[in-house]
Amino acid sequence: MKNHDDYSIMIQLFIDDELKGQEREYLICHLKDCASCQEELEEAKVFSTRVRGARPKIEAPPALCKKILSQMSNPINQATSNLLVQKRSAVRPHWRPLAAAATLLIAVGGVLFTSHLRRELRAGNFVDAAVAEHRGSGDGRPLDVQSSSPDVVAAWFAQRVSFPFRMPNAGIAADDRAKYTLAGGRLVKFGGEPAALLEFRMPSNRISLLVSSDKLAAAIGGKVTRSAGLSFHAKDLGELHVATWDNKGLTYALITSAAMGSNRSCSTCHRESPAATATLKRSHERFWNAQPLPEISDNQGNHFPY
Amino acid sequence: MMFQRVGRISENEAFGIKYMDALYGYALMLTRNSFEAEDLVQETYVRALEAQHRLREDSNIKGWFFTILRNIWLNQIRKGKSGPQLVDVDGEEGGADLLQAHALNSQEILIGKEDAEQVQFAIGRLSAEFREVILLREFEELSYQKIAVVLNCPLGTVMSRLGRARAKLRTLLGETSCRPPGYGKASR
Repeated sequence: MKNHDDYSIMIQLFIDDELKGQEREYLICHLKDCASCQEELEEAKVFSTRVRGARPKIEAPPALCKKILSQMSNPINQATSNLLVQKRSAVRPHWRPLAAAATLLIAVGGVLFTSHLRRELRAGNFVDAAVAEHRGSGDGRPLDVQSSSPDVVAAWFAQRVSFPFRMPNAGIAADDRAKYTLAGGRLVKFGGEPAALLEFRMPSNRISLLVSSDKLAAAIGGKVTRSAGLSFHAKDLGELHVATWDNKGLTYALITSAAMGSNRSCSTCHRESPAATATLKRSHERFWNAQPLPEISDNQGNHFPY
Repeated sequence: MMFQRVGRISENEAFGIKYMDALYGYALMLTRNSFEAEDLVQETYVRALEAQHRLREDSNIKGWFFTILRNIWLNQIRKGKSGPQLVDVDGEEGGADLLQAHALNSQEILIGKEDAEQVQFAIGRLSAEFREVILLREFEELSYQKIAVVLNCPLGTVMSRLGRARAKLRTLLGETSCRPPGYGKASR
């Protein structure tokens, strides 16, 4: 003879489709005659439906998808190279020097191509991460360090990242012509390592700047503009403007939705001065944010505990 | 059909890719950190591809992926790589982080679905062990047997833990249903 607790357990098993055979038949028979258990069954069904209906629709980030699909394609490449190795023994003796040279060329080309692909992948992943962080910040995520002082923010990151962090706050960005202010930063992760995300605020916009080691990230593609010895890569991703650049072992990705206007001038983020305007007019390789937050100079960086 | 049986596992290109979202959700629950979750999922697929040839015809791929993910995570904890662990027994703490992780993803989706938010909030307040078993059963619809394999524990433990988790969830839902809509969003 089963008691009420036994039936309660059986009812839950029944809902979970874990009750089999005679036990299942037994419960079904019992339910026909027991109003209390019928009520409990209905309540349990409602509860289960309610919980299942609350399943959050979580989607893996597209960048992760891309990475995994890329990994999946590797075994195929490996199989192809194995096939080449097997066929090499079938080459006739007098063709062997030429075949060896051709193989060498293919191998070198392959290495260079693979290296380029890896660099492109790193660059793509870095921009994806920067964009994701920029959008995530828009949801009101708090900053880990809140300060308008570059020294304070730099010192905070210097103790937390594994690369020699430098604040990009010299040059055009350092003087009082900048229309944005530093809001602070957040420690994020990129490529399995800590990275720095800086946030700047404008009256009606904000700017995110992801900083990581160039061993994990890369600046590549887009419209390239050379300025002050650096190559800036600019492109638009939907409503967002992206600029990336490498400098002294670090890679930067700047993201903003600020409208750049038709000439993509510096005036979007910086108040124009006669000198700055003249400098820009001389340049034929104008960049939509001509000098996007260039780095702090070496002597300025010395007082940070790297 | 609840589970996909292994039919043509030679189709590398799509091998297990359909479980990525579910695995990412599970990884988020375990790590409470989106970056660690990404790493965990990526590592899971690397291991799965390496071990793919060991799958039998009747193997359950979904459960297998979940088991790999959890084992990698446990190994990381043992090595001290990941901070959070499944150590809080039945506390009220620890849920906020999960809720926040979920909330970021669900924010766009669950606007206006007050009841779903309340249930998620309540699940977020469960202990890690309870959250895990609820996720595996109610969200991922794994059988008790598969859950036992993933958690590496006896079937009876799964049943009792699930029963206690549901009881606790009922209690918490009784409390959260009295809360005003949008409760818990203030910290975002």
